[in-house]
Amino acid sequence: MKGIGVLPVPFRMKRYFYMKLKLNDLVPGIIIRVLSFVAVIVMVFMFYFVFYKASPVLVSSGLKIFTQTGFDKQISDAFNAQNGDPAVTFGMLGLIGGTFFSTLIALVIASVLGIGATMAICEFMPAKLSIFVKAIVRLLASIPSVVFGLIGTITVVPFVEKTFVTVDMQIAYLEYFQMTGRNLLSSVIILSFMIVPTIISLSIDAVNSVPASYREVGYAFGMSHFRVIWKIVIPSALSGITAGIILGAGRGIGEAIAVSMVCGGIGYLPDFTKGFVGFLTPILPLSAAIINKSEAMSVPAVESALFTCGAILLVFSAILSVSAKLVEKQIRKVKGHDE
Amino acid sequence: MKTSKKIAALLSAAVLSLGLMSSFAFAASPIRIDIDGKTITSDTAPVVQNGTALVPVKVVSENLGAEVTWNQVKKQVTVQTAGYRVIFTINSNTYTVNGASKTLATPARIINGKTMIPLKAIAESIGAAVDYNSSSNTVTIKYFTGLTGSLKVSGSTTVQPIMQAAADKLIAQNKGLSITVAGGGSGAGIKDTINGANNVGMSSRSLTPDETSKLNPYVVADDGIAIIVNPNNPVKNLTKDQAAKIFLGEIKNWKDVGGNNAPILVQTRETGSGTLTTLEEMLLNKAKVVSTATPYTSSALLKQAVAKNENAIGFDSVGYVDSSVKALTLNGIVCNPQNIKNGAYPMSRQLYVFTKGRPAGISAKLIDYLRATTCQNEIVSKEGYVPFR
Amino acid sequence: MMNKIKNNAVYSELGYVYSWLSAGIVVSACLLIIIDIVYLGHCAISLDFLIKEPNASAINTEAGGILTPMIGTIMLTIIGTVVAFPFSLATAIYLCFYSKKGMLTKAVEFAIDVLAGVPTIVVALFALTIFTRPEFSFLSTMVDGVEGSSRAYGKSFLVCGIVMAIMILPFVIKSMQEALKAVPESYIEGSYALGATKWQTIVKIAMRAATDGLATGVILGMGRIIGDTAIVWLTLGGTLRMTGNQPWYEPQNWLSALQNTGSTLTTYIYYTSPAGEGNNYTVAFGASLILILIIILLNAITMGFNFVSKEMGKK
Repeated sequence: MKGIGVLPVPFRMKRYFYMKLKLNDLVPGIIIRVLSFVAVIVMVFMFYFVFYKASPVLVSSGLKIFTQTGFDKQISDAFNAQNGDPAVTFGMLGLIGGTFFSTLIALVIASVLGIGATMAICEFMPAKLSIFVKAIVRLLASIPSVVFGLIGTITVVPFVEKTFVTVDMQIAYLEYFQMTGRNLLSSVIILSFMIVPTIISLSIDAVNSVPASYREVGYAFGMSHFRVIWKIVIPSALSGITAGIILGAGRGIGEAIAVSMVCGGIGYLPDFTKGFVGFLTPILPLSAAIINKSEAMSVPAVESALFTCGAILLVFSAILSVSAKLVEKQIRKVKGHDE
Repeated sequence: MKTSKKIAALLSAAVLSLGLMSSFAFAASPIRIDIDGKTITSDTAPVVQNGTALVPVKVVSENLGAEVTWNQVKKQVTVQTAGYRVIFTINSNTYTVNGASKTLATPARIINGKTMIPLKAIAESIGAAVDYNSSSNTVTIKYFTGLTGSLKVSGSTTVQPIMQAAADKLIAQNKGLSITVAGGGSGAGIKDTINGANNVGMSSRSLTPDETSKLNPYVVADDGIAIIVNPNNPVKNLTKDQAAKIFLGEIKNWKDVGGNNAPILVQTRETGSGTLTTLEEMLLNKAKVVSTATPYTSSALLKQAVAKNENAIGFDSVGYVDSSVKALTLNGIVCNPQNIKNGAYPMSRQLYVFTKGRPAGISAKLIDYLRATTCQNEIVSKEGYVPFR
Repeated sequence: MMNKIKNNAVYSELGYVYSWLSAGIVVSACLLIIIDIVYLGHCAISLDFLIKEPNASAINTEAGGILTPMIGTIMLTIIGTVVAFPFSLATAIYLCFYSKKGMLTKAVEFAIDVLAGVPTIVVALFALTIFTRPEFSFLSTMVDGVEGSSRAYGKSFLVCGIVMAIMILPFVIKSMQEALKAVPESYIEGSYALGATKWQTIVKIAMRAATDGLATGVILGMGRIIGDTAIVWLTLGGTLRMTGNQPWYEPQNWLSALQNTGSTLTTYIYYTSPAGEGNNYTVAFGASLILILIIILLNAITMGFNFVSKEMGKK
């Protein structure tokens, strides 16, 4: 080997082996492969395990999961069941409804706020103010959910109770449910502010990547600043904004702690045919249900039921992640066009 | 007699009598008993016979948390701790520990109508470390010290404050011991013990026959379930019938029981709560609380809910009642220790701890500690419950 | 024509109002939350608060301090980050340098993206069942002395730390992958051209160049660990104090402390909030204040990194 003659003998031996066997690369390569394999396996295994644990209830309750309500009573029956009692079928419609309504309404509010705020941050604010506001948004995104829950219980719940719940309404609806400040409305308020930062940050990226040429065209036509943004920039950035909304939805359905502190804790299906009262129903979204009922988990039936809630959440969040990815691909396609 | 001989006789008489007196005094000088560092006083003094100390049975039972039964026919006294069953027969030199026979140098006796048992024998049989210091005439017993290991306790949130306080005291005097106390409700505690997920379980309801076949329960306190309302609620008393109807959802407005025109918001416990099961048994004749009631996972949360809401009503162990809520009288009877003890209060019950199979090692010691008088007087009463002895 | 112009003007005005109003609502919500926490929590902050342990019964008004929860948070963050770091770095390196651009890589990246969206409560549920198996009993304590059963208790700092590592794995992998991808091709090509081996290139060139991005990824992970409550509540329990052999700060008791349960700032806040049993929300807000300060600090560090790397990039 060239140049190796200069080195003292032991070094020569080492060098020889390293170069011959490419030892330098072999060992780390193996380590890297092993570690990444473990990481991926663990993550995939989790997915499989949740469904495995949920299978008893999935099999025994079947489609009733999506059509029946009364989850709370079913958990208590399952917990107290003695050997030989028939298996309890679980109906999670109330829980799914709670998750669906709370996330959907929060998403609508957060999107409206988010898009407006994005426009202000990207276009209408002076640069220094924009940096400050972006930092505030990032701060809002990193506030832990338990703090949101705490603020919710101390500030939002009493506010909702004083403003919207009257004694007469309580008496009138007592046979259906107890009306307190812990209901769909409070959950929606909390969730909106937890989702908004996600939407804003992704929308900002999307809006900033709209080429300047698009705006120039608008100004050339004599459109006002706002019109340019609203009619040209936002529609071009729509895929990024949509990705943000979808990710926000993912955060919304998965939020457990903050929601469990303000939601009411009982899985009623909000009935909007009765008007605004629908917003004042106590609900129990899927993730909050897992938290609340986790103490009954020593019974296998309950454990399986909670894993079923987890499986449903897993499926929903997977669908949302996939959709977000597809939308991101859309962006790349569009961007690719311009370049 | 000569004077010197008289003096000698007097002197020897004096010496003899002094000697006799001192030997009497010596025989009558009290033996001190030190249990875990505390000197025990007993109304009946321990006696020494043939070099063995005999103590009144009460000393052992009260301070070491044992249960004593007397069989008049066989003249046997049985001392039962959580882990051991020791049977002494009066005036017999054999005794049994968990069925195995052992011999005694000095048998148990009845002295002045009180049953006295040999201290060393009983202490060693139940696993205490006994030491006798002849110069200070003290018997030192170490029963609740020198424990090491870790214990997991879970179950009823009613029993939890007692258990936690006892655990704190035990940990303070045993450096190598760790005790984890968790709540979860009586149902969860029972299931955990059956599944081997904890060492000791707590329950505020009595065990079903099915459960008793697998578990060994021990009473640790008496308790009563108080009906609680918000302090601002003008209602002070409910009849048992009214209370039942409220929790069943048949009476819905406070004005029907003498209060304001406001909805009655029932707060209850999640399933698995022993307090809830006992309430349903004793008040509702096994019917279930109305389904629109708001459930909580622990006694503390239920109490908070009632404290915060003027129109709320709930139920909790008397140990949880404090100034933030008001306990109603039931049929005019106040929920207090006397009425619970004499059974006048309609909803009195007992609190249990249990293990799977016979308790052993530190689990047994924990159970004994909970049932010993120190704990009963200092912890159980202080927390607001009723000692069961 | 004038009407149309006027309409446009009104329309634009409304649009401006809507945008500024939305931004205002979002900003004021955040500021209100911070102000609320400071206002309701500042009376709880004192030197005692930071140094003492929580009181035995948080139901009293004498609730003690937050020393053990803070230690708990720190311990968890360290365990979680230390466990996640090698695995995520290895996976990121694998995806960037070792894998062929084929279906397998795409599948792995897809799996990572999906798992980034999994709710933390599901991860906690998974952990709760897995870690009670007796094989994992070295991570928590066994329930000793119970005949006929061999279940691990399943809740301890070690278990919780590992679960946290699993939770942040997708995020840190993605972050590190982005950082490594951003290393200019020229650096890497140049390194190979000079005869360096693959491993040397990775370690000495790519990782050095991507240090800021890698560090940001790690800090992001730490931020998520600090703020998470669901996993801690289910795998560490709701006890307020360390349950290992006391006193926990003596080194011989450290292993016992790790194998037993305790609390973190987040579960402390949950426990003392009206949703938990403490019902002493002044200390809950005090602890929230401390938590927010820690998070602001981490955010600032991340922004600092971004700023520095932008400056370097400009050069």
